[in-house]
Amino acid sequence: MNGRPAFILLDANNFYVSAERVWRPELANKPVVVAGSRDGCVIARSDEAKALGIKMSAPLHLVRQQHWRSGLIICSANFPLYGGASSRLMRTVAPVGSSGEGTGARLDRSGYRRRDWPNTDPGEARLLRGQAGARTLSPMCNSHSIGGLAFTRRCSSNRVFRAFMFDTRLSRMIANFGS
Amino acid sequence: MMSSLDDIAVANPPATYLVGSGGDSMIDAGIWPDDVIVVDRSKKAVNRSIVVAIHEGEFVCKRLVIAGDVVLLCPENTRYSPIVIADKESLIIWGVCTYNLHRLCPV
Repeated sequence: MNGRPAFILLDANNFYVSAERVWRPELANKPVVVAGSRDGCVIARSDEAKALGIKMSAPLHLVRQQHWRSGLIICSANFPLYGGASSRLMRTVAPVGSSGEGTGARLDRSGYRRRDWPNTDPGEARLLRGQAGARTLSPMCNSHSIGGLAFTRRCSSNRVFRAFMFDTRLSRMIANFGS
Repeated sequence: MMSSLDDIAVANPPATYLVGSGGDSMIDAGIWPDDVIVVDRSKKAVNRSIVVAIHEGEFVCKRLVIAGDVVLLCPENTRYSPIVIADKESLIIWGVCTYNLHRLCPV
């Protein structure tokens, strides 16, 4: 990296659903949504639920009506559980960033944690991704978390993409990048 | 210095979970009903590890036995018989049991 500061952005797929699946193995490979706003709308969807065409923040009464035949499982949001999973995720990946200064983390509205690590390399990012997924979230889905690396925080999404060509699931992360 | 339970039993805090034991299938390994098992999800399971695995959609605590091509989840109680894992790829090891908290006096 030639001493240039670099940043890893780590995101977890379907974070709330993944956290539910840690303790409920029967949810694996099934369409699952997590409902928020007093069970008013969808705030997280498993890949299977996305495949059914369920949109983010869709009204729950409509979703239930349209998809109950497909065996859709609806979980009421359990934020202490997700907070715990998020904290474990952050602590799992923390050692990589502990040597550098200027680290910061925040939890945004959609539940994705974001953190910058100075002076890291792509290999480390990849390692981090594997560790974070295997140790914190469910082993039932392989690619639970995504690590992206870039040279500046507000770099072009193209650059992130080239740095992490091996991860084709980066597109959503790029959309979250940069703010 | 070993000053707290965390120092003794929790090698990797973010990957460590406490799980209640439900049945009597692991009595000979010293895991009794209603014990609290310390499970480390970052440890790699090896032959004869006591693991929490997912079998038919449910959590089970068993001893993992790998004998050549055969993978077994063995209970430690002669009243139960081992579970033979037909499809090794589908076996999910949720975590490896590292310690057991057993109550020695009544509440």
